[in-house]
Amino acid sequence: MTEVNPSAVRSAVRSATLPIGLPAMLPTPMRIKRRMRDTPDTFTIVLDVPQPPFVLEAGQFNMLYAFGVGEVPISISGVSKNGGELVHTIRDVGTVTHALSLLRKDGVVGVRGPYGRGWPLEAARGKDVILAAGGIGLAPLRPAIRHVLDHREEYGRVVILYGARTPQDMLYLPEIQKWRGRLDTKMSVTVDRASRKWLGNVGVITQLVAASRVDPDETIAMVCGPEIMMHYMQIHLAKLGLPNDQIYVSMERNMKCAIGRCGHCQYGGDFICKDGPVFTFDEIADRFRVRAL
Amino acid sequence: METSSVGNTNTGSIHVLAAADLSALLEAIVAEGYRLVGPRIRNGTAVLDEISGAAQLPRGYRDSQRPGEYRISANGSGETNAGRYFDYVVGPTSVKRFLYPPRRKVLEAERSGGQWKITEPADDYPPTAIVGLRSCDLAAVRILDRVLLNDIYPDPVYAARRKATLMIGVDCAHPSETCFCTSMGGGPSVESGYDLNLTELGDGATHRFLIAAGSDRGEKLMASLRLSTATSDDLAAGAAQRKSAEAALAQNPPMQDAREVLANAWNSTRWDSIAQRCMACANCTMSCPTCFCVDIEDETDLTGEHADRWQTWDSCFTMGHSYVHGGAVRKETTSRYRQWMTHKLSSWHDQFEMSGCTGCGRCITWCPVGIDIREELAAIRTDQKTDVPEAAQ
Ligand SMILES: Cc1cc2nc3c(=O)[nH]c(=O)nc-3n(C[C@H](O)[C@H](O)[C@H](O)COP(=O)(O)OP(=O)(O)OC[C@H]3O[C@@H](n4cnc5c(N)ncnc54)[C@H](O)[C@@H]3O)c2cc1C
Ligand code: SF4
Ligand code: FES
Repeated sequence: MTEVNPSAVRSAVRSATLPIGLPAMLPTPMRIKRRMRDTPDTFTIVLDVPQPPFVLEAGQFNMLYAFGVGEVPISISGVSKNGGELVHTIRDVGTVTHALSLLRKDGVVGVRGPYGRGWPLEAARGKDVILAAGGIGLAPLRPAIRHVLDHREEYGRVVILYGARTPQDMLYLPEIQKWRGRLDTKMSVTVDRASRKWLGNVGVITQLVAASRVDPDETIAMVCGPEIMMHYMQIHLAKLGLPNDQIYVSMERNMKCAIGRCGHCQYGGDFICKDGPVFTFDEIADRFRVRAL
Repeated sequence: METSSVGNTNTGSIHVLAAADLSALLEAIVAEGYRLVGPRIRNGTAVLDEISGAAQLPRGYRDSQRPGEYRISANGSGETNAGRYFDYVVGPTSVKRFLYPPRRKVLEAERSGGQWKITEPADDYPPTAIVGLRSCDLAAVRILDRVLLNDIYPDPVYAARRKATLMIGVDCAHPSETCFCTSMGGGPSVESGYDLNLTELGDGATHRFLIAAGSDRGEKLMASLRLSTATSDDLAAGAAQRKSAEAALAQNPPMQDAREVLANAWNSTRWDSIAQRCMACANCTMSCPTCFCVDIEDETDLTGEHADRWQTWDSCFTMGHSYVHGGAVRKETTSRYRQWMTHKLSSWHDQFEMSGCTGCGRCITWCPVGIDIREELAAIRTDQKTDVPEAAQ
């Protein structure tokens, strides 16, 4: 048999521990400790990790299993300090996410993970940081935001941008209010449409980019949202002066295995599950705008 | 059974096995505890399936393969048990069927109250000897090894099946029109990855095999056989047969630049022209010996308290392959064919530092409308060549 090729492990498990569930793909049952409804179609579950700590990188995801229904990739939107609680925020859009939405406190979810390459928190140290989320994209980005704010002195200027469809669709409102209240961070929020009671911005998130007073040579941007949002964000960040290798995006495709075997998440020469989901825009610029890839 | 060495390339010395002793070889393999698998005729094709011995091999058969066309028949000797054993090439099934089966239960889950019990069912793969593997089959095994064994998360079931499989290679004497192994850097003779390899020589009174071991398991089997040392005439006959097989393959177009050609072809207009012919039936991916895509699905019993998870072969030609909530990313055949061809010949290099194609030609033969990956590559290359001077001006 051929030797393992070192470049095969270019995205190899960077965390100290292997994902749980391997070498077979066995989900570990975890009990729901708390469940919150975030918006009409989105909810958050807090899972009790049986053998803490659950070690992960911000931006990684788990495969969540609804018993008898199926597994879906869901980003880790939070983890408690001791690694004993795992937080997932899920939008009910189809078969499996709907089955997960029906579970309540003490319900059980199968978990395997964490998988993938996360946000560049190391590379961003000492630099200005733009963290931009659209819609449910705030969930995968929240661990990165929390890390940056918890280690605020390690970063330069911090700009957080968040766009939601309507004020009712905004996730983590209490936490967002805390972020907005900080004097060492610039947080801007916008919605696509709102009633007259909304006093904030209305319009697309990209209009917030220009006001980010960052040093483009020394800035890392982390962007998570629908592809169309990331498409426009890249254009606006480029206008601000950010080169593609300082812009990070998180990609989404169908995933059945999360370990590079089922082939579903292929994106040109990359597997989003193991080479991503976070890529520098540079890595995917050749194909990002190719239709139906 | 030894499991220490799997399909090495350490070529022992070459010997001669009398044609009549092929049975003895297969019996020796069975005596070692292996289930015997080899080519046999089913539904008018030579498929890899369980066989009881040499008598079930398609002796005296020749095939003819063209884009969208497959025929196999006894070559007119009229006698049963006459003629050569391996004068046809690969049929629709491949070694992948055994190492990575079309459907396998990968998980069982039981729920009672809040308690879950999740287990991995034991694999029921017996030690298996596959006879008659061609160089393209063994190339496929090398590729599958890279994907399923030598990656970040190796597949333990594949690993176990791989170890439990004895590979008996055969050099191809009569490549078909759809074969292009040499364009992909292999064949027509077996070079590595085998436990034993056979070169079938002569016919009638001169009918015999050259036999060589590629592993300890192969050496051990050889030691139990009645063999003679190969003479220089035997070796010359083998070389001549190889030369004539190579000559048959020499008409294939060059394909060494496939990776580069396709890396720049995302927007080629050729995809639309192919999509007008392609039926998105997935035959190419199902017959491909290296396509590894699988779907993973749960099934519950009536109580809903017991679930089985199945892994089944999937294809990038299906809607579900690229499905994300809201619809498929690759809605049209244009983008699906592009995924298949660019993956096989180009992005596979980015992923696994090798091509995903062995040149076995199955995708050409089994395409109901006879789309030929060799021709399509040539057409895309030509499109680019005609584009370049304009762009350079
Ligand atoms: C890395 C990553 C992180 C993610 N993080 C989050 C997150 O934090 N929160 C969140 O809410 N979402 C997240 N998502 C998206 C989430 O995974 C999907 O919303 C989820 O998989 C949808 O599954 P479903 O069963 O609910 O939807 P469905 O639309 O029912 O799809 C389920 C599966 O069924 C199959 N299927 C369904 N319909 C069809 C059809 N018509 N034809 C063929 N096949 C079909 C598909 O194979 C699909 O995989 C993430 C995705 C990725 C890749
Ligand atoms: S994506 Fe298509 S071509 Fe590639 S391995 Fe899967 S089925 Fe085969
Ligand atoms: S999710 Fe299966 S290969 Fe990436």
